[in-house]
Amino acid sequence: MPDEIDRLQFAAALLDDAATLRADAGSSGEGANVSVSLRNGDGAVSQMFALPPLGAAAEIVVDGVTVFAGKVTAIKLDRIATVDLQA
Amino acid sequence: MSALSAPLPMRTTAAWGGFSDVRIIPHRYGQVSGGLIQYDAGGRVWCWADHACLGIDAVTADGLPVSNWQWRNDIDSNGHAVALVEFDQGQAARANLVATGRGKPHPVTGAVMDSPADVVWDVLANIAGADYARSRLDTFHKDTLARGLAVGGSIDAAESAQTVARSIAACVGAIFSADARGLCQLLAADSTAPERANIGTNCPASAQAGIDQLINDVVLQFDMLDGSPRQSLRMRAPASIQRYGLLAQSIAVPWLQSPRVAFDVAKRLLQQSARPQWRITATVPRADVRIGDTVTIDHPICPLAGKFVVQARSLDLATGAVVVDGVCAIGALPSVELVSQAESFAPQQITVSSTATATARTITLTESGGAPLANAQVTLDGKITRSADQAGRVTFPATYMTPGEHTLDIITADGRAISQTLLVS
Repeated sequence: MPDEIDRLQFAAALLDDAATLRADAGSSGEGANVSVSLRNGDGAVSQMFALPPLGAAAEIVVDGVTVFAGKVTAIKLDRIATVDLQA
Repeated sequence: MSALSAPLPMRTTAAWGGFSDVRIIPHRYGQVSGGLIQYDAGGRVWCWADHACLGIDAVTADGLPVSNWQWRNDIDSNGHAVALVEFDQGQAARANLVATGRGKPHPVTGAVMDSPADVVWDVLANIAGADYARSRLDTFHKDTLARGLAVGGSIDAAESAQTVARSIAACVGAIFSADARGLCQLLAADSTAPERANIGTNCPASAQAGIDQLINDVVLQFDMLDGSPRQSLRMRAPASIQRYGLLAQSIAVPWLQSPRVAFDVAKRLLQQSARPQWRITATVPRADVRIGDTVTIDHPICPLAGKFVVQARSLDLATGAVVVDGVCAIGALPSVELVSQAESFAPQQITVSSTATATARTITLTESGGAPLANAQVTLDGKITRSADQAGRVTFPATYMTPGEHTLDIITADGRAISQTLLVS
């Protein structure tokens, strides 16, 4: 049985790309969300996420500063893995 | 033969010499309730099904049981077999007449046709005229029989054969596709379907999972009458709720009649959907993989090695490769529990009798158990309101109670609102 992950921390150095963080307090009610891309050519991310950490707490840390904190809502695994986070 | 995507060639009341309005004459399966359709101008004979049936056990008018009827299988004005209900007097066309009965008999055994496989085959082969052998559904029949999954329902709308077949399959937790070798396949955690292909390192593959695919609290609405459920059942997976939060969904299953079958369907649904699932998309280097087949995967990009059932496929004619989609649930089977089971309120049963003098008519109102509806407020045809006495008797002037149909709106002393029809001759 794969391990369950309760908390993720993405350091900038590991990221392939991170989309612009978006937050909207307007009438649409949209919350802050971001997609994080990770290199997965060797399948390392796939192995780490064998049990998808849906709902796990996640944060993006840049230069030691947490720039986003939220929860994992979706994951796509390919040569590039994409993790969707929502605040 | 018509395409499975074409509307089923259902007969309508326009096929008869006269009709009240143009309606599809239903096909009915299993133990099922459904509205009666006026067959004769006088309102004495009503049609229940566009085929012979095994019996009609109860009839209600506006939700209340009536007993002045007999049922029979007969031939209509076109020589077509129909199931009819004949009353001893004409019924008002606006009365909501509903019969509960046992629908179409199995053509071989003569028993009530309530196996999902038999109903799907009847829709495809006998109504749509598609050229499918019944034997293609043998595995589905065996699997549903082993779980005791029976269905009941009506086809009373202009739907396509594949829409009806998909609905029947979905109601018992199965998939239907004309592409599938067995046409229908039960989705069960313990599926033992043989493996048809292997997805290895050289096959392009990807996987995705989302929290929006999870369901850990489900309400099944079933035992439908005119699109409204008469029963519901709620189940949940507590550990999944604790881990992911409440992810609830309400699902209408119009072909289910029994709480026992609904329990089985809800349990399998939660066992699959209350835990994370990987939706896997992969290219298989052979063309004979079909929907419902099992394929194995052992690929570095995919998070787990194992097998899954193909739920969609597309064929690249240039390369002969097939792209397949399937779902793989992860982790141990979640424990599930029944939260509640509910039935719609039964119609309130009131007996109305009346006696007349030259100047007035006295109506006596009694409960089904015989107790008088003492002190009830009764409004006649929305015009005049009187109070019943301790014996449930209320009197209206004869000028208000002319021969014909009258409506009594009753508010009982304990606050119940009941509407009742009274015929004055």
